[in-house]
Amino acid sequence: MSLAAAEKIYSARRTAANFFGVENEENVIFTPSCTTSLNMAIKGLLQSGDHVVVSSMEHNAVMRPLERLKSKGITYTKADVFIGDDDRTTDSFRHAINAKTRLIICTQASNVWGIRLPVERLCALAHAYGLLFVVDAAQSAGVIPIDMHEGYDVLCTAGHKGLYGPMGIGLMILSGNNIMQTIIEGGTGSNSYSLEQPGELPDRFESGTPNFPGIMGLKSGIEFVGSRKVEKIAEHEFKLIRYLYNKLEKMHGIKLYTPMPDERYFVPVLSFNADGYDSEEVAAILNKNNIAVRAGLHCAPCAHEMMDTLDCGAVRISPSVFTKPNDIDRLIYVLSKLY
Amino acid sequence: MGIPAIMVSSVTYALRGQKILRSFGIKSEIERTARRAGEKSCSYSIVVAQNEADEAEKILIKHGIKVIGRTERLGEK
Repeated sequence: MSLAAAEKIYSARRTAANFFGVENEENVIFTPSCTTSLNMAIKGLLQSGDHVVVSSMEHNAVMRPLERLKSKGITYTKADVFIGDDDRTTDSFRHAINAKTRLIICTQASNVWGIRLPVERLCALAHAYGLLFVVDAAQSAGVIPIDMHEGYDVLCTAGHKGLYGPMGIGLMILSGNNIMQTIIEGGTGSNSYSLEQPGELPDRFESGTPNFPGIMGLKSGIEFVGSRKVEKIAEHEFKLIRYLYNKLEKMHGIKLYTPMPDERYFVPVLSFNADGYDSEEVAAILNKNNIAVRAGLHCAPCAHEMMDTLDCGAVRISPSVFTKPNDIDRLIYVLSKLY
Repeated sequence: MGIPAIMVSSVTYALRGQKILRSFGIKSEIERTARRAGEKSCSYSIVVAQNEADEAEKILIKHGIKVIGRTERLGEK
């Protein structure tokens, strides 16, 4: 890697470090995706015999690695989430901890229902029991202010969602003192005489040619979010989601699954179904009208199990900072023509 | 005696080290560490002025930069 490219990547590392409240740039690891970051954390931290507590809404990026690790004697327990009742949710996690528990890992916000988890409290709970805490911020980074000073041991997130980066880039942010094993080893451009993977960050977790365009795109995205302010972006998106919720609630044939989303317990995402239509069918109709949504199970069957939507999936509306009220009106109009 | 180059284990450490030194008023440059016969190098170096090398190295170590040794800048020997 040329020094000029290295300087650019370092600058991107600094941008991400500032955004997430990290002191040292080397604790910011660039990965190909949030899924990769979660795999690195899960497989790097757990050993045979360990037990893990997860939420009942986890993405397959968490659940599939854990299922795979069952063959190595690693077990997990799903803790129920109670919408709008952080005390009960925290209790649910506490009750799931046992003598073999090493790690709590959970999403900060469901990628299907937008339901927030009290990750600050869950992190404190984990540390009170001497456990590690990993947070999946794929759906929350960019709409919830995140500060690593909360004590998260590992934070994993995607670049292409609320951080407005391109697809194919993710982040794994480490607190200063963990001793994770690697799942990928290789050339790092440093200590090349040694056949052992370097111990220093970020090289330890960044083998292979870096995704320079992706990293630069993510840097620009984070700068954009920083300039618009996370709170302002969330406020804008919540306004749209609440407007949509009010309309859909009154619309014949539309089924909603959560209470009216508010900032304390949700991120600005809303999923629904339309009676008599498969969720994918609704998404196709919306797509024909130039409205981009995601339907189906969103790679999160556990979250759908929670709402009994495993068979039908759901249609997810996820506005951005660029979404305008008339975009939502257009969506409502198209849905109104379903019946 | 050539221009001193403080070897660190990665380009990220080199860049952070340069930033730290700048905050102490010490100018530096970064370059790939020169490979010489018998040296096991594949690292980056922070090149500083001769009279500031010792101070710079102490500052780097104090701020958590892993220094792996001292050499001379490329082409200076």
